[in-house]
Amino acid sequence: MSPAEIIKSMIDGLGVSVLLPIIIFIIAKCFRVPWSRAIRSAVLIGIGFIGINAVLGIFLGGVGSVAGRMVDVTGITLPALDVGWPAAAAIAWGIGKVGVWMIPAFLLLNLAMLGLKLTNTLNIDVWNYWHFAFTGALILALTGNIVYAFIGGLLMGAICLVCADWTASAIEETFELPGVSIPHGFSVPFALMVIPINWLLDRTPIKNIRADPEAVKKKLGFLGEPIMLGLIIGFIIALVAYSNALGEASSWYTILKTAMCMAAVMYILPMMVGILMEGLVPLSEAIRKTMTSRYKSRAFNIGLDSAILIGHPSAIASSLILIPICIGLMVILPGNAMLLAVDLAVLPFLFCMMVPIMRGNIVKMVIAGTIVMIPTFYIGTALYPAFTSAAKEAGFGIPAGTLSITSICDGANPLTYVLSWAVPWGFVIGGILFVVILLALKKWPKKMAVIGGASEDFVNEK
Amino acid sequence: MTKKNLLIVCGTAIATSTVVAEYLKENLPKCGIEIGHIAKCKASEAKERAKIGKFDIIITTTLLSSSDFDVPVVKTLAFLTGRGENEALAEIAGKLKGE
Repeated sequence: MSPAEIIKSMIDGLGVSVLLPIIIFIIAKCFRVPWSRAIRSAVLIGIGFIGINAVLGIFLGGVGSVAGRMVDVTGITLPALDVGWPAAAAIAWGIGKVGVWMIPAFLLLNLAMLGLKLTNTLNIDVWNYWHFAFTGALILALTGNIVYAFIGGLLMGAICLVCADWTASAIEETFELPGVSIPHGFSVPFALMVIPINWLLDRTPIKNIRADPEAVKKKLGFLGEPIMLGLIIGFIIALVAYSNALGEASSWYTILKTAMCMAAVMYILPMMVGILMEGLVPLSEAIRKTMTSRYKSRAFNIGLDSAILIGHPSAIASSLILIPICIGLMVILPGNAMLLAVDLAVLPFLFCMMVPIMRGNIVKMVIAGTIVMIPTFYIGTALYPAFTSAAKEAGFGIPAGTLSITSICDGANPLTYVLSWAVPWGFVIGGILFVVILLALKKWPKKMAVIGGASEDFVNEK
Repeated sequence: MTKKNLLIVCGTAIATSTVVAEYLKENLPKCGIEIGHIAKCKASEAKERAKIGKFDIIITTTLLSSSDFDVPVVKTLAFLTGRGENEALAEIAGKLKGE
């Protein structure tokens, strides 16, 4: 065997759960993480992968077969089961050729853009580089071209950086977070999409209707708890699947077991991803320290996860209302293939950056959320075959031929879709988007800040 | 001193809360605080979670209304941004010591 063949057989033989820890370990040592921490975090990442794979197996075994029966019984064709963002993140990191290599690649890009004054954001949220890696992974699954994969992923990262600059004033004003911006790969595209919708809504009487987010939280708050949401979703799917055999006790056993399985997955799956994240912390800490120490003299915004915005009552309330709306849309939209499940819990990410743009008006937010969800379903439908093959490529066990998988985040992410669309033509659209936002920010900084959701008074005072 | 239980809250209970949890695990003992257990949860489930577990303090990276809880709530991004870490750590340690 030639050296190249030996390496290839090693990669295939070891699998993600061993290979990724080795790569992470090497990168961690490059950033001078101490030996013991580097080894520990590398092993944790391997453990996270094994855990996610195990829980995914429980999910596809317990809920997947019932979902298949639902199709047979009702004729509702929803072949793409939503396995949620935890699985999407694991896929992104697990694609050996793109995955973690996106970390050094994006870091270099961000430093270069800071140096050239193309952005004012230093994105130290290393974990969420997975959104960029995921776009790369999809492009790789679609084209097999590694160069395209990196171009697509990095372009997404660059667009997120300029959008973070754009919305930074609004974030500072609404959330009282000076010095912070949000280059988050899932929240940013939806914030972009609602800007024109908001403009239209403000020309209708809808803008005067107000609802109290606290009251909504009180009534629908149970949907915000993953275990309750899982129980309900699992119950509904199984109830529909066995709607032709409700007289039999065995049907009810399965219905209740499916509900419990779904609740378990919604509770455990994020914990497994938490292990993966725990393994990444020492590396991301080291990167943050290296990066911030290098740029001490210059004032810049630190790019963080939009998770820090999600506690806003309007974001929580509107996502609670959107859960039943999404379930309704899923059934009535013709041609939709997505069967929503795990990612119903991450709808607040869709809304958090809308809060400043819509001044926390949850009536407007729910309307805008419903409107943006419609194309989102079709994007998910278009991307699920690539999603499924990327998952297989990343080494996740999916029962052959039975089922396809997807997720709202990022399997139905509009920006991911644009960039992976008709490669490389999607890059042209993405490139134009990047340049237009960049130039507009340079030319009309105040105006853009207002469009991004800041008030005029706030912008003028700065 | 008795061991202190921490509830860390963020949007996902995974990303930013893990960063905070790892930081506190390493640094709170240096301030003379013994940690019992650390739980992480989402902002939308924080109220219910706080009722079930026995927590001495809630640390959040996102908005929470402190009136929902009967223990101190500290909101900080210092452990994520690296700006003002020591002050935030001192505040948390102080609250846990009952100062």
